[in-house]
Amino acid sequence: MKGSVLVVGAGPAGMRASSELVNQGFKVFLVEKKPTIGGKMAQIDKMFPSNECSSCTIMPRMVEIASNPNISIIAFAEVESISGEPGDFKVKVLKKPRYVNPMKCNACTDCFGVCPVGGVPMEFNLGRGASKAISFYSPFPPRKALIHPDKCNYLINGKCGDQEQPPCVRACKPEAIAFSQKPEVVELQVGAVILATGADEVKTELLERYGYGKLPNVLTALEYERLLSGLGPTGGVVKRHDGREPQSVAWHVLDSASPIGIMTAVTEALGTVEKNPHVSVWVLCEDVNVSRESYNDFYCKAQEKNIAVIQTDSVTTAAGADGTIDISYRKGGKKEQLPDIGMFVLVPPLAASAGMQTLAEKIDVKLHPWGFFEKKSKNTHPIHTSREGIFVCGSALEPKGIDDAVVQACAAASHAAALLGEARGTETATPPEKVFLPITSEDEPSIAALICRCGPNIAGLLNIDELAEYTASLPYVNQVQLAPFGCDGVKIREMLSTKKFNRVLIGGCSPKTHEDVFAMHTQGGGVNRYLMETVNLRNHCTWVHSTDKKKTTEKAKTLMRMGAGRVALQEPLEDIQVAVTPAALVIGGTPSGIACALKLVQAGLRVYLAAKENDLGSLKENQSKFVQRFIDELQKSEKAGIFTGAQLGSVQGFVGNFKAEVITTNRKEIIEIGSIVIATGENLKSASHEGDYEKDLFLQRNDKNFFVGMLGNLNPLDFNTAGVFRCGPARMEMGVLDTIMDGEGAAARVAGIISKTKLVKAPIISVVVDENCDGCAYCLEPCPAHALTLIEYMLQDGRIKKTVEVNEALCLGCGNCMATCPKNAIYVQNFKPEQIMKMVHSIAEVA
Amino acid sequence: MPSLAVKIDGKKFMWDQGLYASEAEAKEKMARYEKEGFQVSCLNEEGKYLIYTRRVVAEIN
Repeated sequence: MKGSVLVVGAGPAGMRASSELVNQGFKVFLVEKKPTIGGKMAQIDKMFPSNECSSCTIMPRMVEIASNPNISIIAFAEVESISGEPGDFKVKVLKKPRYVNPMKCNACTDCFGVCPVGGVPMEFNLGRGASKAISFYSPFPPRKALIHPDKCNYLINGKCGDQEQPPCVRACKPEAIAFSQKPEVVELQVGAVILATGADEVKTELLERYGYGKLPNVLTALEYERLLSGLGPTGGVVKRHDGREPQSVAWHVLDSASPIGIMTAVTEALGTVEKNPHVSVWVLCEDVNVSRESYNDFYCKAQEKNIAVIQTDSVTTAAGADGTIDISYRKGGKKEQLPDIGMFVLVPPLAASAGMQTLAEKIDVKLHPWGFFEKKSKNTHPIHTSREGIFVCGSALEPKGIDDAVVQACAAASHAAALLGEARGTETATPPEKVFLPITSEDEPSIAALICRCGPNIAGLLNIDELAEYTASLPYVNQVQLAPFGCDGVKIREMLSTKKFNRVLIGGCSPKTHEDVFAMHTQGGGVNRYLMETVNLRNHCTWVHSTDKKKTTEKAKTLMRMGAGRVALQEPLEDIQVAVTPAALVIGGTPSGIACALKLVQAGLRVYLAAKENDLGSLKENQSKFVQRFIDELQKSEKAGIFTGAQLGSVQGFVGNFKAEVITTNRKEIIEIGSIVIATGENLKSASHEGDYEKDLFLQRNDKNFFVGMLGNLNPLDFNTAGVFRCGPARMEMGVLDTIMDGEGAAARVAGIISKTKLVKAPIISVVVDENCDGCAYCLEPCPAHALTLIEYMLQDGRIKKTVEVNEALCLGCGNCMATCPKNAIYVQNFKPEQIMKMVHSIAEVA
Repeated sequence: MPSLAVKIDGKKFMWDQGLYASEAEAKEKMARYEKEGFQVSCLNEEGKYLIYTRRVVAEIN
């Protein structure tokens, strides 16, 4: 049995499956046919229904994956064959030549400038924009140059320029150019395979009928995404073929059966008016299929922004004057005409990605007639393909939104883990011990500052050179660098490699999404991550003040000054290691809860299931064969503790170590678990009056009584409370197969915690200054985590004094205690009063 | 100056601010503290004995 998994396709689903598996102790080989990872998510501007910036969201995840020693990315490669059996597959992967050695290429781009061949259409930008014959495929990892063999003078003619060596070879200091590279076959041994090959726009003659390929300003939705994207060929400014900005844009949804088409069109229309409110937009579709609540909410909000959605029976187009498109449509037998349309965006149906037929033949997996992977039989789980041990997820199964693809990827990871549970941890390597420079809080600060351009997200909305010059003038700032994307780590590591700095100040994206990535690069450069400060120039400045460049620059200066002031006072801290209780509690005997519990026991993990029903067998009534089979298997498992007729009392603790009161007719039991899954829409505590686990765990419900989860498309199963997850009816209404996959997806999230022996916790916690504490206990009540205990101690003269003890594992670092203390006797590490005051004074100094 | 607070088996103990010359002297004092319901612990630092105590306050007024 092998403890490794092959994941084919590195879009959001493949990346997520890889993360979940590696988090559970499995080695992953991630094969991607394109030269960089990210899939379609890297190409689109914003995601529905959250309207998040897609590349900003996925970039940190890509960097994490590319930096994980237990994930081997094999990019620009395709699977050639898979032989063997579940648990022990032999895989052959064909790597295409880049003509650049990725191990040597340092992404310096010196070769790009000297390459004489320009005008090479950029595949990533779907033909828009041009590059040199040596270029990056996309801005995303692995950020390594690539030579286009059909454009490169040297590869075509054996000569480039008038010297013996071509210019790129002479320019490349790390000697990475490798013209002798040939296709290479890599052989792997893995226990399971996950196919996450995605879907593509279908470009049939149907598109031609609407002018695609004939009229210059008719394009597809994905092509339009590249124009909307700040990382696209026009820097996020939508431009027509002639370079002018359109005054009106219309979308035509060609597949109304799935919500994907209408949601894509509405998201793009919204993105268009958000960038330029003067553009008129129309969305034409046969039907509006937005039954899912979150989709419908998004759709309604978009309509409030003057996005006109017109249901039509038919649409016809013709060339208009000056590159415009004449669009008429029929509605209820009446013919109507749109005003002159500057750009016309077709939203085609999605089909199995190109090459899936070939892949299916090579690996002996059957396809549906419409091209997607087929399951073994009617009674087979949708994630199982026709070949045992090979699973499928995301849009390779059928087109879907990114949030659904993420859930399925988690579920597929659960299936692979269930198959390979006994081999967990056998092929993963422990990361090497981090080596830090010997920095103490007494050393004079020396700050390396990095300001991210972030495409047009930051650099396009303020005067970045002025900001850099100002930042360089701040106390203790000894160097300032500008970077296209600081999150790629190139500039941070370059600055820290000089060993001249003991603090890092980053002006870039939100720490919420990017801090861990910046911290990873900071630590990679030998500086403790708690000596780094991230200034949120994007969300706190440029995005919210995008109309006045001068004032935006002034605010950015203030923010950078505050950051520099704070980071100078930061101290190196050590992460806290917390032991994990290797068990989980699933609340709710729903199909989702049962599927979650079963996947955990199949993966060799301990689980408790609390169901309100008095007899688990009664759950079988009116359930699908899947669920009936799941219940039978769960009841037989020694790893499962099942509480029927159960109510839940209070729950205390924190990720890795919770204590939950489970009350049944006969007994009240306190169980210890490392993670919790809510798989019910009902509140199990209602009859017990013994506690309120929802309040204890800081959970909230929306007006439809569903639990509110963490924001963002990449976190559909997570709550904001670490270690607690939601699935199935706790999340939204869904069909039985979806609810099962939701539960299985939650199992992967849980397994990522309870399969570990220890968790790392950030040391951003409260510390008591005992000399100042008089034991008044004002801080105890406001502590939401119950992390503070009042203790007393004896002095040798017989007096008794009081002070406060902090439970490091429980403390959330919220600072409530600090705000309450009248004696300056408690503070949150790296948020000391003097640090906060320094930031406040910085505002006054700039003003 | 010895630390005012130390962690022993994950629990915070506080120094009684005395420096005891002998183990016997420290033990005698510790017995007195224990009688009062305190948990006690003794550390030897540079030849001196230090006593640390703690007691959780059950009722907060």
